[in-house]
Amino acid sequence: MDASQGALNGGAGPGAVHGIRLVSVTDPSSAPTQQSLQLILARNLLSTLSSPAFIVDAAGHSLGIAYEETRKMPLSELRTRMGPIDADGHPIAEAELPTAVAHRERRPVHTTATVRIGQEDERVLEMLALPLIGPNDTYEGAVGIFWPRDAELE
Amino acid sequence: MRVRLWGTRGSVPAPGAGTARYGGNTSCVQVTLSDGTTIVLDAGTGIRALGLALDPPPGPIHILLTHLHLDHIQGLLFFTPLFNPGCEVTVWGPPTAGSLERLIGRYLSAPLSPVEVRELPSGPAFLACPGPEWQIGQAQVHARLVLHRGPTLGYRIVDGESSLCYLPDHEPALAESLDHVEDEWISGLGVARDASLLIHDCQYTDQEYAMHRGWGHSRLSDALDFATRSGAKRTLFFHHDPLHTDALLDELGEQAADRWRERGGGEGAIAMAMEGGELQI
Ligand SMILES: [Zn+2]
Ligand SMILES: [Zn+2]
Repeated sequence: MDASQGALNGGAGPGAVHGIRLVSVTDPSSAPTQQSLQLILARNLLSTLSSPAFIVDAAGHSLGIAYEETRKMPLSELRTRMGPIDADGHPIAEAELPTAVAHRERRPVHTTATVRIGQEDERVLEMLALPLIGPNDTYEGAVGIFWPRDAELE
Repeated sequence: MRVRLWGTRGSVPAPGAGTARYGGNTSCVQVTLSDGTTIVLDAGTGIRALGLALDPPPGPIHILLTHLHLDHIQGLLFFTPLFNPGCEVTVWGPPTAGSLERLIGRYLSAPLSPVEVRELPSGPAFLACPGPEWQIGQAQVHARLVLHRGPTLGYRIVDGESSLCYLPDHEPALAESLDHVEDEWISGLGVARDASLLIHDCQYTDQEYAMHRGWGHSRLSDALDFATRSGAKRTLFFHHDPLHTDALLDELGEQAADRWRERGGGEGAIAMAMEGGELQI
């Protein structure tokens, strides 16, 4: 260790006071913004799954599908891109999408829908949305996960 | 703000000739604010000697617990100010399902302890951190949940122009290398950014980490990545593994300094935390 490192540490055992150094730096007055731990953990989990999935933050912004993208995207845009329709062929209203319900009502929701994914054909998906409730019952956002029902594509 | 390290070891005390220089006591850092207020970060076994040094107590004492793993609370029973009826002690901790006092009472109660929490003569207050930021003395204290095992806080203490970030138990690169993650998605970065001093977990060597992924601690590479991304002016690597002797920590410190230089980092800005170390920031 060189002398400057020694200045950060006591060179000897407890009780020693070494090389106290005055360092003046400017500091931002408050800590910068950051996603909540619950969303970070959700992303950690979802990024290691093969199931397509996305996160909705506490404000209702969708934060990407399978993390190919993480730009903020309103749920309405997600719906336009995926165009989910129910079993009878009727479009599912934005407010009735599982993540929208989970976000609004803070409860888990499961449904089956037909969607478009990228340039692919329509696919039938199982969709599950879970609200994320943190300590002191704080709502941190929601996760939505999809399972393609490949058997029905034939 | 003055910072003094009373315990830098992780997991369990590791006394003995082989660890005498970096120290064998578990996590405890004393912070003296510019207005004289005493903040104590964690109550590992290092807090015992701090308690003796704080006699007579210089005023109210605020203990900020990152989490309730034993290596961060074990010293409470041996912190003499808690046995001084005239001393005002406040213990702050992470949000938990039960009350903080009841959870700490699991340790400070029979049969594990001869003294019950309610019998502590100083009558300490046990409080969950009231929010993401609050005031202690003249400092602004920020607390955020960070990636470890169980509810764990990272702290940032801002006193005038100086700031200290304390992340003793932290595994921000659990799922993927930090290279590929945007700032806002890195656990702990919010409280660490541009800190005057960052104290960060570096429990494992890169080789050891393979067997310990998910245990809630960082390897050297990830600790270096985190330090780089944080933009902290100085970093102390902390929470040394009980198996890491002084010789190994010297070696790790050299490795860290070399790799830091290769990244273009400033000379002397990275070091292994050493018990008894003190600095003014
Ligand atoms: Zn620990
Ligand atoms: Zn821990």
